[in-house]
Amino acid sequence: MNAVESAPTADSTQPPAQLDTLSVPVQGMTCASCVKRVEDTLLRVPGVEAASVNLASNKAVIRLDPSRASMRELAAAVHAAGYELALPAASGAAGTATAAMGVPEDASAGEHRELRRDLLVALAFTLPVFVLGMLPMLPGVQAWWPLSMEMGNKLQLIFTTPVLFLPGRRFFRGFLAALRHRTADMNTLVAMGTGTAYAYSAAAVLFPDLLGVHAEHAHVYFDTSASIITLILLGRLLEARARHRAAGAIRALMGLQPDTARVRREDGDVDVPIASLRVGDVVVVRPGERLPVDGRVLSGSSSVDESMITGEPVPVPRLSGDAVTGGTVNLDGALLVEATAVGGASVLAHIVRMVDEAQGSKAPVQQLVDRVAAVFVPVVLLASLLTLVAWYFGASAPFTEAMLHAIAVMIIACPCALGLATPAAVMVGIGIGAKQGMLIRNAEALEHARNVSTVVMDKTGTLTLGTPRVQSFDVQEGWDADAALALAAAAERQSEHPLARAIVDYAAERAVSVGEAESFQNVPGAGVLAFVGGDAVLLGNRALLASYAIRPPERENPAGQSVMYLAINGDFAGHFALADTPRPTSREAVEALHSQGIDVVMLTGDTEEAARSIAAAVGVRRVIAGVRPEQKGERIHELRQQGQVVAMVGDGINDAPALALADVSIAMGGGSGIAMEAADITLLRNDPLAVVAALALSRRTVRKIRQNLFWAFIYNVIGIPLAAFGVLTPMFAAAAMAFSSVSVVTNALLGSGTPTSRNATTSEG
Amino acid sequence: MTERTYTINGMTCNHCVMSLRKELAQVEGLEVLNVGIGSATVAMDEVRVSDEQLRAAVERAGFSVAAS
Repeated sequence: MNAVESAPTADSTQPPAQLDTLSVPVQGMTCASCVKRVEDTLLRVPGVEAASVNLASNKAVIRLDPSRASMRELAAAVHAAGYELALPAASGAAGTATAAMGVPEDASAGEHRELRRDLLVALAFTLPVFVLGMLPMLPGVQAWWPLSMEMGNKLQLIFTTPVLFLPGRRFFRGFLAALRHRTADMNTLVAMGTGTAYAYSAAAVLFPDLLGVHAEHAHVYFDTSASIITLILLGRLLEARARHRAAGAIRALMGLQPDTARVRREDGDVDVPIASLRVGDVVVVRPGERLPVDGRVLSGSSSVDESMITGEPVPVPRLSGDAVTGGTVNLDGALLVEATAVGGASVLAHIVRMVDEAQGSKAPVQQLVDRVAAVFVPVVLLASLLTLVAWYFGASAPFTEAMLHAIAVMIIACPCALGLATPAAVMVGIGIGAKQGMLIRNAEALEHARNVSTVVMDKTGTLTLGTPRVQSFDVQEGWDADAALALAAAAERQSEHPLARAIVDYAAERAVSVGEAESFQNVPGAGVLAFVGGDAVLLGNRALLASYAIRPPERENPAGQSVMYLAINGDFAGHFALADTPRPTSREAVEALHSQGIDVVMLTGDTEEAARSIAAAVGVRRVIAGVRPEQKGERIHELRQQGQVVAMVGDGINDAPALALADVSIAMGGGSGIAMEAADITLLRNDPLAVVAALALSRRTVRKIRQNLFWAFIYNVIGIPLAAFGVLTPMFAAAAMAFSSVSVVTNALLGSGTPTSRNATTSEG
Repeated sequence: MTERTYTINGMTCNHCVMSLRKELAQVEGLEVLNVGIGSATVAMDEVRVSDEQLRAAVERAGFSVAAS
C-alpha cells in the first residue's frame, strides 16, 4: 500500500491509534483522473491515513482510524465528489469474510446489468438516427425517400435526445460533478464532444435562422452524438465483462466456502449456517464434501484435496490430530473435525482478504501514470480548442467541420485505457498467483520480484523437507529387520517427536504391520521406553541406552545424520540413521533459477559439512553455513550491499529478520498466519518450484503492464494528431477509444493460463 | 575384572529386566554383560565395587539375589 502522509495530529506523542484497513467498492469511476480525485477526496477526510484506489477492481483500499473517521463520512465525501462508495452491509463488519467477499460482487453485477440495459436503449434509438441520416444520402434511395431533409432532421433530433439524456446521462452527470470541483475527466471529454455536436445540430433544426442555415438543407450531426454514446457504452460493457473475469480469482476462492456445516450435538447432527459456527464446534464432514471450517481432526482418516488452497495437486492424508483447512475437499473417509478458526479468522477468509487488498494496491509505476493522467484531460481540452481555432481561422474551414475535428480530438483522447493499463495487469497477475497457491502482498512486491538477481534459500524446511527421514536401518546379527522395525515403530507411534514420526513413516513405507504398545514412557531429549507384546523396546540416543547399561558399538556418523539406537529386552538390536532430505523439486527449482541467470545461495545455521551435502544434492553452488538466526539478516544485508537484489525464501517463522531485510521476502509455509503477515509473497505450497513460478509471474505482469502502457500511450500519441488533422471522424474515434480499453484488459488476461481467460480471448479477440 | 552370573529372585518379565538394568547401570565399576528374566551377568572391577553394592542395587530395583 502506498503510504500517504497523514495530517499532523495535535499530540504527536500519543501512541498510534489502532488503524483499520478497509477495501470498499467505488462506483462511477471511469478513468485515471477519477482515481486521483477519489483518492484525494478520501485523504481529505480527517482520520484517513492512506487511500489507494484501483480502477480495474473499482475498489478503494483505505487505512483509517475508526475512532476519527466513520464510513458514513467517507461515503458522504465521495458522494459529493460525484462517485459512490458502496458501504458494507453489516456495520463495521468489513473484517468478516462475508463483508470482504460479498459486497464487491453485488456492486459489479449491478453495474453490469445497468450498462447492458443502457446500451440496449442507446442502440435502439441510435439505429433510427443512422437510418434517417444515412439512407437519403445513398444514390437511388434519394428518388423515393418520402421525408424532406427538414423532416428527417427533426426525427433525428427526437431519436437522439433520449440517447443523450437516458443512457448518456452518466457522462453528463459526471461532467457536472467534475465541473463543480473545477476538474475534468473522461466524462468531460465525452459530454463536451457529444454535447457540442448535439447542441449545434439541435440549434440547426430548431432555430436555423439563428445559425444562418436553411432548415431544408441544414447539415446535422445527431448520428455522431448518438453513436459516440453507444460505442463508448459498448466499450464500457465489454470492459466490465473483462474486468469481471479478471476478478475471477476472488470469486473462485469465495466459492470454496460451503454455506452450511453439519455440527455434531448431543442430540444428533444438525445442519447450521456457516455464520453461526463457533470455535470448538465439532463438525462432521462426509466423503466428497468440502470442509466448512479450519480445524483439527478428532477422529476418522481420509485424504484431502487441498489443491484449491495450496496448488498442490496430490491429495494429502489427514488423520486424527492433523490440522485441516476450510474450503478443501474431503475425499475418502468421514472426518470429525473440531473447529479452530471460523469466519473472518479462517485461512480462506485471510487469503481472500489478502488477494482483495493486493489486487486493489498500486504498482509503483502506476503513480507516474496517475500523475500523467491528472494533467491529461486539461491538455486534451486545450488541444481540442486549438484544433477548432486552427481549422476555423487558420484553414478557413466551415465551423461545422472545425467542430467535428475538435470533437474527434476530445473523444479519441479519453484516458480510459491509460487508467486501466497497470491495474488490470496487476489484478490478473495477483489472481493467477492466488489460483496457484502464491499469495502476493501487493502490486509493489509483484512488480519488484522481477528484478531479483539472487535468491537466498533457507536450507531446513525450504530446500529440504525439514523433517528427518530414515536413510538406513541396520540390525545386529540374529535380528529380523522387519520384526525389529515393527517393535520400534510400535514404540514410537505415540511420540510426537519428528524422529519418531520418521520411524513410523518408514515402517509404513516398508508395509510392516505395527502393533500397539502396552505402555509408553517418553524420556525427554533421549528417546522412549515402551513395552510391545511383552518385549521391552528402548529407542533413543546413546546416552539413553547407556542408562540401561547397554553399549552399542562405536560408529562414525556422516555429517547431517542423526542416529537412533534400538535395544530390545536389554540387548542392542540395531540403529536407524536419519537425515533431512531435499524436497523432490529442489534441484529442478535451483537449476531453473540458475538457467535464468539468478544466483542461488543456501543459508543455514547448520554446519558447513551438513550444508555442503544438501547443497551438492540440490545443485546449489554457494553456501553460507553456521549462521545463527539473528545473523541471517546481516548476510542478506551484505549481499544487498554487493549490489544484488535479494529474494529471501524461508519458512517465515525463524527467518523473520532475514525476510524483513530482503528486497523481496518469500515465505514458504503452508499458510501459517505469521508468515502471511510478514512476507511479500507467501507460497502456500511447500515447493521450491513455486519460487520460480512467482518470479516468472512477476516478469509476466511487468511485461503486460509495459505492453498495456505502450498501447495506451501510442494510441493517444497517434490518435490525437490524426483527429486534429481531420483524418479520424468522431464516430471512428469513439470506436477506437472503446476498443483500446477492451484491448488493454483483454491483453492483461491473455495467456493467463486458465480456461476462463481462454474463453475471453476467443469471444472478444 | 571378574565375570559373575547372579540368579535373581522376583523377576517376571521384561519390565523387570529394564528396571534391573537401570539400577545396575548406575553402579560404578560394573559392566553389565547380560540381564535375563531371573539372571544377570556382570563384569566387576572388584577394587571399585563390592558384592554388597551389587546386591543393594538389585534390591533397590525390587528384587533379591538368590543365595548361591
